[in-house]
Amino acid sequence: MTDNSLPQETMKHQLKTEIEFAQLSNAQLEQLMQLQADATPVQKKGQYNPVMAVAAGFLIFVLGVSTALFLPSEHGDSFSSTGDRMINAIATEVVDNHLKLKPLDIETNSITNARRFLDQLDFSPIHSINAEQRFGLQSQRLIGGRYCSIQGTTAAQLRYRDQALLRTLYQVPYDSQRYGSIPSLFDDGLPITMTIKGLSVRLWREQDLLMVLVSP
Amino acid sequence: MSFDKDQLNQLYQYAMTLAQQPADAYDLLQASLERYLVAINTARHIDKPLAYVRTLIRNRFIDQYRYDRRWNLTSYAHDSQFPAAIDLSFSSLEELHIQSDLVSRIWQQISPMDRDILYHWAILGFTTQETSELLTIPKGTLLSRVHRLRLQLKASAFGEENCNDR
Repeated sequence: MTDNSLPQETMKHQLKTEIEFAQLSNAQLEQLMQLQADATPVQKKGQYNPVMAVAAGFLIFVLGVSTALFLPSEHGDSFSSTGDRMINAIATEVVDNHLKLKPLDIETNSITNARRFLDQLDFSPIHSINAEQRFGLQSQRLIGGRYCSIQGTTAAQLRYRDQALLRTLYQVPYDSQRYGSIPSLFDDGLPITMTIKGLSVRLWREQDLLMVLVSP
Repeated sequence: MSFDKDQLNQLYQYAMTLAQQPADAYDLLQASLERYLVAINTARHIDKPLAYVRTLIRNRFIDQYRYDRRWNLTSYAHDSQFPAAIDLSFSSLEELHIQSDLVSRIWQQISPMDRDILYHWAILGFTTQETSELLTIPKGTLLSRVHRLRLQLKASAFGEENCNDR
């Protein structure tokens, strides 16, 4: 029951009060300010200088040719530079996600429950046999999952904890046009492995899904 | 362009309007801010950064939380039970006087879409036409929603003998 003696205000005023009541904490504000400060512009607008553009183009060409001729690719010859860039972008993105540890959409130790909950995905998240057999990611160590995105495509993040060891496994439909050639681990194939921000990242293809495992 | 603390709070309030849960709202804001920073750092010029991030928040909410399941866009304009000659604009809400505790309660109960509409009216000062265009809600649907909101508010308020409809 409401108290009739309470003052009455216009609907608009009351709504404004209600909405503006929500405030970020100081810690959250600092975090978001820091996020903005860390985002250094990659490119700034300026006057177009054709001479500089030609010089830059030539330099890029020379560097590109030198790299292709003299530097061995970290992932073998089967990956194009576009594919490598995409793989690096994916790895960086999942590492950032791993470090942020955003809240789980579902907390469960059952992949079936996680699959049932994450029903808006365009695919069905799986328990990765390869992750278990090759990297010891046991199904009973699952603690939950959440929606995320990998390069703009909706993906699943499954989180596993084994005592202090926290690992995240990302799954997204495999698209060879987009991601390039990603190895399958069938017949002792090896995953693409790299280290980003001190974390180990492994990428492979399994059941037509791109799997990305991030481990400390 | 970076947002100052007041602007970040404004964006958070919009995220809260939709999500209603502080953790979800913060998550929405952070993810949308990251997307915005990527956009401006790839030399994209954005005219209205606040509006841009609000749109990112809204789209993300719809996408990530499957808002569209509850996002009923049925138009009532042709509903036979819908009164033809009735005031439907935001001005019908302007005249409603109501107590704050009742607003708080109703705010929790109404749908995210209705909260979104009211946010654009009460905080951003948009007209029904502007809100309709920005939220891409057919105007008939928007107006009928405003009408239903008003009825709901009046019913709640009169139920508690607490509302002055001038």
